[in-house]
Amino acid sequence: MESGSASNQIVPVPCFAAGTAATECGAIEMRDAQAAAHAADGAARASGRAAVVAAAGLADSLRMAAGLVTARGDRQPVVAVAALGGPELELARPALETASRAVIDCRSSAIEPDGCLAALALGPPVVVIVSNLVGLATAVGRLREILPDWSPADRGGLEVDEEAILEALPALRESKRPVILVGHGAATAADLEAIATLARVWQAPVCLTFSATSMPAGTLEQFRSAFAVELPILPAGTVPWSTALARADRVLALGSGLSEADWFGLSDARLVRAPVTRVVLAPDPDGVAETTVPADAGDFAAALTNELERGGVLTRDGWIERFSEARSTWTELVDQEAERGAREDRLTPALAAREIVAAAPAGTVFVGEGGASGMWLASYAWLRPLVMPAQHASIGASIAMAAGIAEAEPTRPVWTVLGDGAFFYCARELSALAERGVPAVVFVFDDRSWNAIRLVQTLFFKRRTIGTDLPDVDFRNLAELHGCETLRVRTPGEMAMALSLAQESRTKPLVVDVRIEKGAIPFVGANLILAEVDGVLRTLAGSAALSSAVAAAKDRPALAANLRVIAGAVRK
Amino acid sequence: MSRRTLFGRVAPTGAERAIERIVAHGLDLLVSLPGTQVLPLWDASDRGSAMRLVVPRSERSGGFIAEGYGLASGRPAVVANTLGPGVANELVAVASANRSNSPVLYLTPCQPQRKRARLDEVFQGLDHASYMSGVARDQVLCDDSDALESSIDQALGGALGEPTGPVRLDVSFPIFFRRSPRLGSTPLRKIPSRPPLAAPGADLILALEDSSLSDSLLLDRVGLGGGPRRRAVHPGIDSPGSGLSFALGLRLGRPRSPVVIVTTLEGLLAQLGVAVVANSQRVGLTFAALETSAVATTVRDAASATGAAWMPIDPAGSPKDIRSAFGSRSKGLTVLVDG
Repeated sequence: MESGSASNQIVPVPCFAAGTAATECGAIEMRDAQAAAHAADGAARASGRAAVVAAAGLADSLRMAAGLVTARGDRQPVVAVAALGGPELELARPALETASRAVIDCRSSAIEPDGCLAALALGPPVVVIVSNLVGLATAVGRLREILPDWSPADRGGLEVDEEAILEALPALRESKRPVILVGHGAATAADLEAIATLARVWQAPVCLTFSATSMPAGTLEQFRSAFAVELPILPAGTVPWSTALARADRVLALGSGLSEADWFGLSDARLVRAPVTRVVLAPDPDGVAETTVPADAGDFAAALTNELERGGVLTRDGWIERFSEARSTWTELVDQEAERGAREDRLTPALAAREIVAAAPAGTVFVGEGGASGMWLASYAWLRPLVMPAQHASIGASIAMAAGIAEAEPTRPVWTVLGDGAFFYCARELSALAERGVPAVVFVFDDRSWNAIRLVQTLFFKRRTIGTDLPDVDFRNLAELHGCETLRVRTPGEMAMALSLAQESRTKPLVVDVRIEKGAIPFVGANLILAEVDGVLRTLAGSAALSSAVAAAKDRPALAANLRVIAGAVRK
Repeated sequence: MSRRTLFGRVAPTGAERAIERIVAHGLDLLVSLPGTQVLPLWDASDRGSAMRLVVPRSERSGGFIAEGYGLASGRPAVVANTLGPGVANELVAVASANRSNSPVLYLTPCQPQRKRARLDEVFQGLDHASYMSGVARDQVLCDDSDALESSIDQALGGALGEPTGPVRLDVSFPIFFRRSPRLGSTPLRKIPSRPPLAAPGADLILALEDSSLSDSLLLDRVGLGGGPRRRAVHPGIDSPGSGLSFALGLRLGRPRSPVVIVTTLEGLLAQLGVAVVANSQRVGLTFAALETSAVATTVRDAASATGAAWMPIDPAGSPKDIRSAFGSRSKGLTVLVDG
């Protein structure tokens, strides 16, 4: 069976570090050790291959740990090397352990390849502890030898339970409204052809999780080719996606963590009521699945396809077609909303996001963040390579991730969209990008607010928008200080000109300050907001009703735009 | 604190009770980045309380603001960031406050008990207590609404104990949202603040981005050698890119004392977001450098880009006069760039 991973060829392992550690181990130098961890995370996400981050000393090891938390959330194959000893190690160890899934202590021994690869297979990130800078350089050198052999399809000696596969099949075959949920684990490591064949035979719509949506760029291209156009693949966080999961009578979750952000495990808004059969290679305890099968997702899909072909398919007529139509409707509605901005000559975030995605050259890797800017990007960058933290929905990592992606996928353009609230987290890394001549394009969605949080204030706090207005900042001037090319756009016409420039080749980053309207509400991501308030939704019900009434009176255009899209999709 | 509404009096939310208790202890600074689970605290602090809200541009920056504030004032700032990734970003600042013995109260929403058992599936799940156990002075967990006030007292007692330091209080976040009367809450026994821990009595506070800058010859050129150099303060952990946050905290904690922070050009460019925050807090912010130095033009441009004043320093000027200029009232916070 062929692997669905991005590539099995031997390629250099990208390594990132800040300060002395970068010099000592010949790593790509970032300004900050947390950014170095984000860069390794970005490299791993975009390529599907392992990446390394190194840090020396207490402060940088702690910063690195902070960056690893985002990689851990989405199980990215990052190996972090920390040079620490004595009391400093005792201070940093708990954070390094919590931010990873395995810690290998190599202070008195060399890295053992099998142990390192097995730890990666069981669950990344992995932390390697060494005692000093010499050990750091040695460990990074060793990892550069070991890690090219690793691929996401490596099972690390994990055994498949054939009996459990056979036991799980009959219940699945009985389903009349099946949905296949493809998680990041399956998207990156399984035989995608086998999953696509199952979807065709079973007549099941395919929902991608948020983390699977940001599968490696090369894998995504295989995915699109395997699934072809007639299969409805539903964008995470949209109405058709939620509808499929809500109406299913059986969910087959392949390589998914069954996260709350994917509607699972919520106590207040239990959208998914169907029993779930979960297929994962390295099962960890979960409180959601009815059945967990330790197996490769592709092997399981092939077994279920055989079972269906042998025993017959019971899926209700029209079930899959309904979602093909819903997906098309959704795309049209979202497009119409962007078009409305164009007609009225208003630079809305919908229009800006659509135009950015449309203008990006083929093969571009988009980088997004957990705030409103990421939701806008996700609305339009559907089935284009998109790197975005899912489980933690972190903000502030995208510029550093872009640096990592540029290293791991040097032939692909990298276009980043981030919000003005997040800009300063990693803005200093623009200098690192400029120094290395990375031609990344960075769009700052400048709406003078923490918009995702204003949305929560609008929906639950009666529009008391305390603290979420941001001062007017000229990001163009700031980016120039970091050695970037810069532009500022305020109208659809200026946006079009900026995008023409963005398409040109260059030898330094381009930062575009995109002045968009304030207060627009993204079309996707209701599941993320509900996951955030799960546990208090009933408490907030009265306040939410009152808040909605206030918002309807005062935020009519923003709400109306959102409702047009949501209601249009629900009607279908 | 109950509140009168159209429908009569309503019991306070946990967030309102928390803010009431914190204010009763004499604390007045809330350093917080927005996140859904901290919004009740923002809402409560905005309802006529004496809390001042500072919104930094990253959680790490907020932690260093709080460290400086605690050292300068002897009172803890309250740092409240969202759970999961928000807490993750605080790590190095907590460690730094621990090293400098700065009293800080990290008041953090956390997942309720039933979700803490399966954090891998929980949106933004992170085991805060385990993650922070190496660097926090102490950690308190509140899962019971009735224990909210006593948990705040306990955490503050730790932060202002001997020695002072950063203490984390994790509160199951639904408590902040839910209304509940204070049943059997502990009577207030006010925990006294400490006298200023950094540069007590100084008419100008000199801060260094990191300890190695204490050797800078620039300090002598601008009249800040000798006594000021010896009394200079810096974050507990050398943290390039966080000095300006630390200095802003010093300034907020000692509003009558001008603060001069010495940094490098790289350090300044890493902290332009803090300059934006300082301006929004109406701290008189000035960027300064020797006008003949290689960094002068960029520092001037950075001042222009962030709305800070630009102070070119004449290398032939009298050190005494330059020092006096730093101490003038209009210069609340001066960023002196060595280069």
